Amino acid sequence: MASYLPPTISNGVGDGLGDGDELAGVIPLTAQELAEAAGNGGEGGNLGRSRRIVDRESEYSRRRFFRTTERVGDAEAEATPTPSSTAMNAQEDKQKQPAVTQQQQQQQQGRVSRKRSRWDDAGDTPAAAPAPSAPAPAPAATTTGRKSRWDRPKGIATSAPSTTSTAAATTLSAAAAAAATTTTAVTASTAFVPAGTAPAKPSLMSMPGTMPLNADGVPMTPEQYNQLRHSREMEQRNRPLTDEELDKLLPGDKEGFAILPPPEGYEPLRDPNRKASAEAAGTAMTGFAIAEETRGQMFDLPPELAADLPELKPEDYQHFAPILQTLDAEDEARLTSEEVKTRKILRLLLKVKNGIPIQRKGALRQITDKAVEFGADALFSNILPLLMSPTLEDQERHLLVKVIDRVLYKLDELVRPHVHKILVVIEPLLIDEDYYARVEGREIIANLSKAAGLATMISAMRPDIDNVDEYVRNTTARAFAVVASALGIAVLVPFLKAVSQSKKSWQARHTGIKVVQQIAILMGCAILPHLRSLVEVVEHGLTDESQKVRTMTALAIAALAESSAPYGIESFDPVLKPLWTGIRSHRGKVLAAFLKAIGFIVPLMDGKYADFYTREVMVVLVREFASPDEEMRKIVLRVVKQCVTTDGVEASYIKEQIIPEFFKNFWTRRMALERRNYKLVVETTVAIGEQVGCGEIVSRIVEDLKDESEPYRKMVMETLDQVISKLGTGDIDTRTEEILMDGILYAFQEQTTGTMNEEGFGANGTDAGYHVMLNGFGTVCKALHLRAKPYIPQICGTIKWRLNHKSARTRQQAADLIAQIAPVLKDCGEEGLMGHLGVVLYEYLGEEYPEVLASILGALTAIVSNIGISKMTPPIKDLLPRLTPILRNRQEKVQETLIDLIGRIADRGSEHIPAKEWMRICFEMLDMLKAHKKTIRRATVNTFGYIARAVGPQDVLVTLLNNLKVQERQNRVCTTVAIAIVAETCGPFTVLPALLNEYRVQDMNVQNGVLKTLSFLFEYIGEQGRDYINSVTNLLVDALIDRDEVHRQTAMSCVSHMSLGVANLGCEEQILHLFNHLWPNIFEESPHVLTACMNAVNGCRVALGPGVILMYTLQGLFHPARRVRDTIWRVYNNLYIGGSDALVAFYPRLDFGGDTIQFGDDKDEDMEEDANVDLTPLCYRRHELEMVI
Amino acid sequence: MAGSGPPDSGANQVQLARVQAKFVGTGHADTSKVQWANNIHRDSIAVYLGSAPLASYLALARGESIGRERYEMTEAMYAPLVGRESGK
Repeated sequence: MASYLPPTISNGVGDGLGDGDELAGVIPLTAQELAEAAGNGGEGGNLGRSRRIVDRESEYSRRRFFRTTERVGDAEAEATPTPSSTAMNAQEDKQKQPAVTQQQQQQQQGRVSRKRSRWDDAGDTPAAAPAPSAPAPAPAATTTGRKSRWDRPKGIATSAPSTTSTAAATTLSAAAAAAATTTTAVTASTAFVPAGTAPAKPSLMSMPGTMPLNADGVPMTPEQYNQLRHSREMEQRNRPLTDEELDKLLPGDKEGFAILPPPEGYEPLRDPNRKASAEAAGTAMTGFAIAEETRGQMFDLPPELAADLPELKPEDYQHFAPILQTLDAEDEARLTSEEVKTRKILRLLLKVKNGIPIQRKGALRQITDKAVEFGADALFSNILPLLMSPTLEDQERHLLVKVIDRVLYKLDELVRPHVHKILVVIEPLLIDEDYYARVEGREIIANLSKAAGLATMISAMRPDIDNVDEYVRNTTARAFAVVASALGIAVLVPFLKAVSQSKKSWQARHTGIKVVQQIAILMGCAILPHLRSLVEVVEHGLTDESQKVRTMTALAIAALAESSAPYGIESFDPVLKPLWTGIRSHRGKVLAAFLKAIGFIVPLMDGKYADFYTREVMVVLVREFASPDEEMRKIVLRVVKQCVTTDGVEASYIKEQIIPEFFKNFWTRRMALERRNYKLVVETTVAIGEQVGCGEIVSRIVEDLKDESEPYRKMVMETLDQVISKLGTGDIDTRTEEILMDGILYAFQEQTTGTMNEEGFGANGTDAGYHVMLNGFGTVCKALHLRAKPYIPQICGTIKWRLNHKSARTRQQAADLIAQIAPVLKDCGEEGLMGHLGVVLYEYLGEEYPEVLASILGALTAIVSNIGISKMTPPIKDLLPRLTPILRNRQEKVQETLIDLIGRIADRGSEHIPAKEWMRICFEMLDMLKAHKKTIRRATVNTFGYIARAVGPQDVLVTLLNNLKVQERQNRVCTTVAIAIVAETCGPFTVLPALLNEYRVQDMNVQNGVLKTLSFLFEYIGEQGRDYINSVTNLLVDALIDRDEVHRQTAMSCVSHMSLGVANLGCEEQILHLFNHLWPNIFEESPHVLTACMNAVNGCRVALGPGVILMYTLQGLFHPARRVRDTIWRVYNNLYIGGSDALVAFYPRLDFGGDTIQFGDDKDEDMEEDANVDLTPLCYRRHELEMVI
Repeated sequence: MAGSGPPDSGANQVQLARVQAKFVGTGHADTSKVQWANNIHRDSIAVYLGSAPLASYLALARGESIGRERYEMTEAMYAPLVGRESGK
């Protein structure tokens, strides 16, 4: 930023650059303001995350504002001096303009400082002037005619301040001035456009130029612009009072007060920055005359809008200027038809952009319907500038893009003249960081190319292909890829071929090849049919004279190979030789790109070729192992991984040629420090390990477990974890095994990350080191299995010690480790030790940190399930009472592990606990049904089942049935599930009587709960439902004819489960009875009820056969009322989809004697012999034979 | 499907359109009797054709070979409503 500032800054001078346009919210930026804006922008974050797109854009993305909609070289574009030309032009402008502006600034400076008089500027003006004086007319005020525009800097000289007071300076105490500032009359903010003064809507031509210029003639970044707007408003409001104002405010001579002159030698304190911006603010309002009566009132009010229009941001006033004026009938009559159209479009756009959903929908529909009527011209000249607005938000962009999308469909080929303009606006979406924006951009361009056709697309984008600006070429290449995916690769290939062989410029070739790369990335394996031609398009680029083209070619080949994997190696034949010779002659970036391409091609090859080509490339790779270039090393790592995972590369070769150098160069402490390197090294090492075996890798790195660098130890541990979990410990010899266990114990004990962050528990709860060490340890123990036996005492010692550690993290990790290795302990026959650990854990159940407590409970669960309930120490009858109070713990992880443990005990060892204790637990568990996490609720209801089985259903059932009365829905639902589970585990006959009895309670919640329970119950018991269907039929019939919708809905879902369960079990009579009661519900309005009803009908269809239901539908298929037909056809469609074959036997005999039927051109040749066939009597009957079937 | 929820519910329309694109025999409120009759006849024929016992039963009853019977039924699919009565 600093480099933008001309040396005049320190003079504290503002210029009046382009004051005419500031009315339109386009505020010229002075050097001071820019300085301030840049300063504020640096601090940045105090505004929070903005929704606006510009605020999250990268420097690169922002280059879209420099793009023009017109071709470079168009006469018009050239005539516009400012940014409506390319970035390059803008930069040239930057060179030229400072000289001009500085000169103008100086002129301004003279004028302004003469006119302005401020109390703290006493030195500049005569101090003795009479206080209440008529303002002397500002010298230049009379000359103000049409104000200058930002893009015509030469008009500046006409600007003049007209509101600044010229009264002589009087002095006051600083305190008085400060007090008076509260009453400062503030003129309308410069960002607001008073209706009627708005300038003409910007033409498409100057569309990107809505960014104002700063003092250097360089367009401001949107950030600067907004910063400026804020700071300007602040300055405006806080500007010093003029003497005139002070005279009005404060008592004067008449009241017996005197105005004191400032003391001798008084120099007001001046912060140069503040003064500078104050001056700037002063000058900024100079060109802006405010009508007297609006003073002090208008400044925050947006212009009035028609009643049905939504609010809009001040920044948008310019775009929507025409509709902001309220017109009377006369004016309206004078409008041309074009203007009327524009006003209509703007209204609709404003509603789409800022309106509430209902306005938006209506407007969107209107704009779509009338698209052709409005015409492409009018539409796009209004939509596209909006899309380039610097203050656009994501949501607004999404909506506008949607408008374009809809309009495109309607306009179809009418869009042709506008293709380039649309592309300029949409292409930036393709490189947006937001995934959905990219998808949206692709969709628009795809639709555009379908509407406009390939020829138009190509002619619109061709000039951009060799644009000097890399940004333009990049977006164009991506747009071309989208065109290819929309219209097919094949049609684009000839064009690409021509472009990539262009003799004119390397840029064209570069872009052509980049298009191929983008096609590969965008379309994935869909390139396979065109692979050969695409490779042919790019192949000669490998030997291109331009280094950039060579690099891009290699990257394109890499993308092609990646997308086509694992097929298509034959298509790459022509590029193999140049690639492999290329790696011997290139260095640096090009070499990296070549290696990348090779890395993707090798995996496509057959074994023996892969071996050969790997050997060829490996020489270079090994050389580059030592490269200082970080990027190169990353690519090398990836290529090594890709090469070694290919079949055909021999283990012995890898061992001899790659491993020594690889470990020397990459297994260093430095590599472990950076996350991406770390990951790559681990991945590559694991890949190598899969080829050469576990022992080779382990023996090389195992010593490093005792390295002094912690990140390095972590890297070793993670590699060991992955290698061993993939390959096992078969080829680790005894000696290595000892070193391994020793190292792991060392690394585990020495870890610091876990112990340091005791405070930041939640945040660091998932830190990588914690899990790397834990999982590494666990994996190795599990893999060693019985071989781990000698080390177990030591491991347990460590664990016990760490369980007692003062750091909570450490305790948690130790407990987690127990959970991981418990199966190993069991298999090694260390049950005594496990029991001991159980006792230790039992003692730590008073743990205060919930996370640690959860881990301890998890460890206990692991021990209980491995050692068995009966052998558990402490005995279950001691353990469980200790767990009951923890049930009140609200922490999710604790609840989850605890309910798991209790469920396990209830399942396998309920006899160790008295029934009373179980009932107590039941009561406590009811609260758990409120848990947010589904797994907790599920575990809880299951546990109810276990407990019910242990202590008998009666008591549990009473508890649960009482719980049906609670208000909270989730709780009731879970309770119904629990009852159903109890019924399932103890047999429905134990529960059904109580349920039926409970249904008699006149409480809607309870009754619904009972019905829901029945629904779950029949879902769970399935075929057993046959035995219980008679007992509940009456209840269900009652429920199905209840007044309450929910009641019927629940009953219907019960019927659907029941009917599915008893299908083919001879319960047709009952089901038909129920079906007769539910059938009237098909005409329900509420979607939930209707869904339940349709499900029930479907269930009955399965139980009764579709023929039965068909008979119910026949009366309604051709019913006079559409409402009936709609519903009945829906049922019919379900029948048809579910069992069309079975319906055949039931299709009715259709007989409408007398009617005739007209067969048009549908006539069969065979029928022609029968002249009268067109008037065949209706014969929808089937043959007699068929009727027998 | 059609008309199940609110009258112009888009989701329902989409669902109906999908069902009809997938299953020719399904219908909607505007399906005419002729269309429906065509469909049910074609479905019936499809079942006769697809099931060997049915096909042989029909062939036996008409005194035709199974192949011919199948052929004629296939032909009849073109305009199932025409000429069925005429003893074919």
